[in-house]
Amino acid sequence: MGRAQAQYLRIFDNGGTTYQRWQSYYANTSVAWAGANWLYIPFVADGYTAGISGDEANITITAAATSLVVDAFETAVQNGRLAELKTYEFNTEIDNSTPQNGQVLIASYIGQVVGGSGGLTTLTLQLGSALSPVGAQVPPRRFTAALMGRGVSE
Amino acid sequence: MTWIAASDPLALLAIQAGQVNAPRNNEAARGASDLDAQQRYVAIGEPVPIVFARFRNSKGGILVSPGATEARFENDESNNVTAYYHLVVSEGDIDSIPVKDVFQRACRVGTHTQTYNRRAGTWTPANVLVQRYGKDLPKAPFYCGTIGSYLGMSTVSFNVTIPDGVDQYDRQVHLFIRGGMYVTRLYDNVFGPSDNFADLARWLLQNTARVPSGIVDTTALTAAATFLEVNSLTCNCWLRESTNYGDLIAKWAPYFLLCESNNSGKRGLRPLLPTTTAGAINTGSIQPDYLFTEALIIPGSIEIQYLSFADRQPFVAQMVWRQQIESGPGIIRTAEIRYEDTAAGGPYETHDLSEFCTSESHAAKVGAYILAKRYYTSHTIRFSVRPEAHNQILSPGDIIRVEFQRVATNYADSTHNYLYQIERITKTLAGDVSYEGTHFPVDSQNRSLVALDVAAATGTGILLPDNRTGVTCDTNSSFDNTIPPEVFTELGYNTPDGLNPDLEWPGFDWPPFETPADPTNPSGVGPNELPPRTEGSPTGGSAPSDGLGSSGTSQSPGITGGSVGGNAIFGDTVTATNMPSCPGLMLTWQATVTTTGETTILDQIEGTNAYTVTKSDFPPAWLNGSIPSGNIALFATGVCPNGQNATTPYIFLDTRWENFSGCTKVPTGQTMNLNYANSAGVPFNAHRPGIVEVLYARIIPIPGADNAYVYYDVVYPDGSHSTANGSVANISGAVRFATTLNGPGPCIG
Repeated sequence: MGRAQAQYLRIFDNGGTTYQRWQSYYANTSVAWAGANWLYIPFVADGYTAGISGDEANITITAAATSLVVDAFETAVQNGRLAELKTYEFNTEIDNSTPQNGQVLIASYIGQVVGGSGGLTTLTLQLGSALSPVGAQVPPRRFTAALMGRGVSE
Repeated sequence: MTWIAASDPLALLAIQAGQVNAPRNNEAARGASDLDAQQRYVAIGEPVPIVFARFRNSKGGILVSPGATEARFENDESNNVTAYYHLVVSEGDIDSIPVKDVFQRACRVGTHTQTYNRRAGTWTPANVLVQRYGKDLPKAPFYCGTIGSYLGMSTVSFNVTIPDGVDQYDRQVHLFIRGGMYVTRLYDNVFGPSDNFADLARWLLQNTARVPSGIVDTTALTAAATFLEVNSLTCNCWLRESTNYGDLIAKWAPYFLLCESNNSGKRGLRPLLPTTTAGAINTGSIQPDYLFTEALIIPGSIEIQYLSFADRQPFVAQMVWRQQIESGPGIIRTAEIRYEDTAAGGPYETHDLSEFCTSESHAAKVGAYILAKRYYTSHTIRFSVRPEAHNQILSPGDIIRVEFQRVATNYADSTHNYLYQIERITKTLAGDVSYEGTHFPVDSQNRSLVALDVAAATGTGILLPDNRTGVTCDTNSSFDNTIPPEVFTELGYNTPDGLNPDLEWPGFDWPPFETPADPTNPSGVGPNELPPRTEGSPTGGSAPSDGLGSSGTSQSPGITGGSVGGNAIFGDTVTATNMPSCPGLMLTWQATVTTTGETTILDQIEGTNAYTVTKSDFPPAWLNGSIPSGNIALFATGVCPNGQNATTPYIFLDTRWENFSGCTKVPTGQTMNLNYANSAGVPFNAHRPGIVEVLYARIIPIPGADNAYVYYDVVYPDGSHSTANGSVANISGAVRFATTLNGPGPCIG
């Protein structure tokens, strides 16, 4: 048996609208999977971890810095869009040209596109939550002059 | 390629892995109340407090000591001092506070009025104390504040008169809160006060972290809420100090026998103990979710770390909790938990739950968990396996069995056979999966030893009397359940009777809307006589005296056209007035969620000052019910090409309603439905088939009342009209009023 893993990345918003569907396995071709068309974008995903303590590291996606990728990334960061990464495993001896119906989902992750970095040729996206591990956030609001006037001074 | 793994969990003991909190350093219990202090004043920049509490089954609730944002001091001829304090109790709406639950020092005195989303009371903040002949001039602040908007907050106006010579008018006001901030409870899906920590965590995720709903694990949170409800682990707290969300959850969740979960990127909470499907602690036989043997485990990947002897020594868990007296201050209590015949003289580890825990049983169970976890858990494990079905079955927190044989030459074979709770799963592109788990101790019947001990732990049941003695200083009865009339100040967007004259409909006799009498304002000076709000921001304040804006004359910018008490509903066409007069004026209409400050641009228009409030202009997340109606403010900013600009005061958007006035041309044979369900759960359905024309259809809530008017006029194929008008009761809390005219929208054709 030849084992292989294919990764699928979907960028969407909280309302459910999908903006990008990428896959990184079937080179130079778009494939149909899960009722949608997935564009070939060479990328690798790093850091898949799930834990009980809630302090797990973010996932990073590294892709070629094409205009499509850069635009998608900038829009996603600006609008706090979500990204869903799924990894499937399958037997290449059965079919290595299109996604197989029986392929096994071995990992999935949903996160916000919270940041990134890159250079001339590559771009790295960070998926996670915008929940900052530092800084005071609770309670969420603070008193302002508009809310409470100038306040009492003794 | 290499996948990043988190820090080495094998070095983490339970106390470090988020399952057991570190003991508290020596300091006073945080839940203690200081009754006889000077009234505290709120400073700009302080966090808006959150009261999260629910008094039920004679337990819970909390006594809070809110800070004042405005004050007024006056003295009469006899030098009796009357002090007024405007107090911010909590973020969001809370239950009404009866007279018996209001204190100054330890005394039930004074009068109060409570409101939400606006300023309570109608008095003007000032120090108007004067020197009376032969008397000392009472001392009070000279800067008594200015009027604020208090959007999205529960506020209380308190006033008390203290005789001459008794300097107690400046003492702290305390309120016993029976029902704190309203949230939609996960356990029963009811919008109201909650004492469920999972509800608090979800609210904070949504409002503090603004985590999109897509990465909030509602399923896990609901399971956690059920676990808390079934096991009576309640949270009655007053959040008033700034802290980090992650820190708060990490610190408090283990005290509810929960831990934060991060499952495929989704954040939630998960019980630390095995549970039944109903949410109870599972004290039955535990069936592991998966069995790992040598057949799956990659050779050489197993690592075991044993807990040190020092960490497993017996100790006394000293749990500090708060016996909450109904309508009074809490009594700080301690419950000492230890295993029989061990650690009779210590050592002690103190865990302070007094900020939120009002049940001895709750404290005892948490203490038992801390003890049992340290006592029984012997080791942690890490191993890697080949991918199989477990990929889809297992998630962090699940129970697995790991079984392998140790075969040694010249020695008998032995078997390593233990249950583990999964702490972390790491998956790699190479395909292998790494599991990290903590020993899950069980007895011979496969029952969790920790769960058995926790389920068996109960308190002594001894409740201390409050032992309040001495000559009473109460002037109000401790049995007075009266809710004082709601008296408030609204800032410039409402008429005195709460109705907009523009809403007058032919044939309607609007019922009088009685503004409750204000004991502090017998002259009847109403909120309409307050100066209009002048600061041009969505969270703008008021009071020209604070120097924030102009004097609020008739030439000030404003918004007209809101059809419900000056506020807007969908379908209203609102107009910005008194904007700069210039060619090319660009008008930007914006909306702000008053509780979060999130703002969106609705429209940018040149050439007209009018805007029709349109649902699709708003982010869908604002309209899915998570933001209570009335928490969205609308305003407009006009900018001339030369830079001259002006901003209107805001009005509110009442998302419960839609204005369908003017809809016409419904195709022949189509139907019009006016549908809603009232708060009593009674559906209203005016179904009129065969309509050829709808002249208008409108449902208008009556501000301050629990009623609405329904009014429509439709034409049938034979030319006859069908009209309806009248009052419909019990609308509050209800209800998305949904009206459809033939499907996609109210105005067809």
